[in-house]
Amino acid sequence: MLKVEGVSHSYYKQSWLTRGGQQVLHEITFEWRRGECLGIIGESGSGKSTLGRLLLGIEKPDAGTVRYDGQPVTRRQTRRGAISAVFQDYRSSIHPFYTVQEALMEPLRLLELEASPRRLTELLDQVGLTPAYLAKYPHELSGGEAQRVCIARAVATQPQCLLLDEAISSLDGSVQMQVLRLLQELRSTLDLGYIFITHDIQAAAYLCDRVMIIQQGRIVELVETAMLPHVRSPYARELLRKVMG
Amino acid sequence: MRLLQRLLQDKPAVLSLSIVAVTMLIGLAAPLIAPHPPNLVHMELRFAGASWSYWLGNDHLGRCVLSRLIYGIRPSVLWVLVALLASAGLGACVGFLSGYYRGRLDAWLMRLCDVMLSFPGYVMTLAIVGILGAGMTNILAAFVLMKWAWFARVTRTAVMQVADADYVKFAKVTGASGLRIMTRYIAPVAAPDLAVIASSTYGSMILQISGLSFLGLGIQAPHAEWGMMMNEARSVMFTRPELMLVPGLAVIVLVSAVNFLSDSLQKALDPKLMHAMRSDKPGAVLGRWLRGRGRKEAA
Amino acid sequence: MNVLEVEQLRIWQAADGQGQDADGRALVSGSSFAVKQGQCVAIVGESGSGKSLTCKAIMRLNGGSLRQSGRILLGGVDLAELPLQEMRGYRGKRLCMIMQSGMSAFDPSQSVGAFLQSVLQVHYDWPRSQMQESLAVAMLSVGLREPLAVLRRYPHELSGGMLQRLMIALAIVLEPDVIIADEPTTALDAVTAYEVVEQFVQLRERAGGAMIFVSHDLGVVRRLADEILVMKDGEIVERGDTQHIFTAARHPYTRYLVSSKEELSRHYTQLMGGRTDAQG
Repeated sequence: MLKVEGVSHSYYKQSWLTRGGQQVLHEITFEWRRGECLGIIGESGSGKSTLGRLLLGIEKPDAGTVRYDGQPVTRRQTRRGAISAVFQDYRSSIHPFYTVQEALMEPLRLLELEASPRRLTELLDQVGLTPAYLAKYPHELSGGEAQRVCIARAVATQPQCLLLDEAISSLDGSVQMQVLRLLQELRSTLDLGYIFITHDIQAAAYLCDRVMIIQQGRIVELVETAMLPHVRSPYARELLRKVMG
Repeated sequence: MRLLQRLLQDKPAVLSLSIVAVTMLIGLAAPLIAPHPPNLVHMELRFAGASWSYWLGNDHLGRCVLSRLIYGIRPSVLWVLVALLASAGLGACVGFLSGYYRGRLDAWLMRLCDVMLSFPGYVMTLAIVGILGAGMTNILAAFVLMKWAWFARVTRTAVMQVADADYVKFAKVTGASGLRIMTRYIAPVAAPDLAVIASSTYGSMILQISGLSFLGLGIQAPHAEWGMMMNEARSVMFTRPELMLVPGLAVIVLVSAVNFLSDSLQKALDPKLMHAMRSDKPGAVLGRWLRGRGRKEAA
Repeated sequence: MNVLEVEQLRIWQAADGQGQDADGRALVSGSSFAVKQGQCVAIVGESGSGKSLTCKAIMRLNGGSLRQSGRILLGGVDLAELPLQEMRGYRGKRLCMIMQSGMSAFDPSQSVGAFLQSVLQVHYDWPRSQMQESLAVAMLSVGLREPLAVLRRYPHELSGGMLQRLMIALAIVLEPDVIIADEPTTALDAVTAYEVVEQFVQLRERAGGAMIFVSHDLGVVRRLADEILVMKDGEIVERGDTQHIFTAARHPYTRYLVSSKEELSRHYTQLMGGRTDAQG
């Protein structure tokens, strides 16, 4: 379980002489329970990317705590394998000099898990790719294929929580659908939970059980997906309306 | 290794590489190769021309020019290499720490670099040598002191370009340590930039050492060094031009070879072509690259 | 009345600059289509379909090793035959392009106002005050408040959505015959994309010119387009009016694209109890 309490964070100006910043998140508090799929919806500039980084523990919040099973998430030991991530830019998510095989083996080697060819083939198979992809380089893959490799790599350590930071936003329309379906499948086969950060309400509504709407660093709504039609706040209603089918 | 293969396809590169490699090997094996001891004085052979036992003749003290040339490789080429590696190594460490960890550490280190870089190179080297006294070790120390800041800056830029990449983020999330990330992910990408800069600096360092020795600030007599050989030949420049030409040509040839090698290295390490190196048919690569660009623009 | 006609447009990549096909296959093979006055034609396709290349080919912006053939008739004049000097005169005034990335369309070292004015100066002889005024009016109509303050800003200070609106405002002032929009909403978040598409709808209605709108997002296209061309691997595999494409498409690829989109939006509409703007 991931517990976020009173998290606030600011961006500091680059200069080392002045301290002055822009507050990006204000008193964020919520929980993610094992196995659930939580969507975090916000426009650009809402602070959702910053929140993503804080949830992953690669940055420490200025105020408040993010704990996973009671331990702070910034400690590498807490995260090891339990939390993983897939990012928006599939082109820069895999090191350009590494083949798919090497990229998949990295997290396995790091956590001293089985990294046999059998296991790698199994991983690729789960995301719908053939073993032939093992020898390919990232620039030889299409967007959808590259993102699948990133998903395979993220689930390699058998995490409990997979954070998807705008993971489908850079993909073409029909490929987005393919990946969404894949994510749904994996959720049941691997007993995974997701934190799905996105600006696309339709995708979040499709995939998630619960949905959180952020505006300028504050939580505006936090409801079960089924309750979305009944939200009260004007911002949320506007957001739900401005959807192109 | 593919890099070597690529490099070997380039004819000037092969030539340059051979010249530099052979020179270094000769320098290392100087005692085995040089026909005569370099410092052995034969006053009766002063200014003798080329002969069968003294292929390049003798200098103003009757010493064998060829042997001095060979022994001169050691300070002029090999010791400079050591200084280069020390300087680049120190600079790279600073650059890595600065570029990866950022924040306060980065700010302080970069201010330090700015201070070092604001001093004009040659002048500072002269000043340091003036303070510490002439001599090879002092000059090399001065070099390391002056050049590390530049390597640090270059490395830092290369590191910063990579440190924000998503694959680094993923490694952090999975729990990789800073050191692991730096060595496995960032170093391979930053190394080409550093290699190119280092190889081009090598040429200028050789020239500087020879220049300083020519001025009398470098290695002290009676040791052999190319710049110093030119200095000693100054007084007989017009009567015995070969005494100045021989070490001078040696410097020119070697530095040109180093510079050519540096250019070829840069071409071979071009990131766009790095992808090409690792794929199959060359013709298909360009098409794929273009399509890759097209894809980015569409998505 | 056809404002723009494209006949047998073929784009290939020259290997060794010899004019020979590299793989023996063209990037875009023999496309033909036409755009009428007041009509919006959408070109839909996924990465690698050749839709962006087609747009750039009309503006003759494909450089490097790309070659093209075919006729591009704008009001009777074949753009493909024009010398580059004349072509430049056409760009902006007759053919205006709105690009995907606002950031790369503007000069980062100038304020947006200075840049827009320099563009206008190429085509019009107006004094500065008149330029500023028309820009301000156009900017208000696309929803940019305090236009003069915005014009003083630099591109990196403005959001993607605002930069897109600026490009639309420029198009309004230039009053071109054809507006070509190359994936203008792809890099924007859902809400901003919605608002920008609204602007495009209004632009269509007031400008009365012709529009070519390229996107991979069928939702956007549905709101905006009269006619849709579906491209795959450099070929137009299907064409028809919007209604037809979304309800009775023939080509399997089109049906695949439409059904992918439908699945997502149907789920959403059902969730929201049918109370959304989805059908536009």
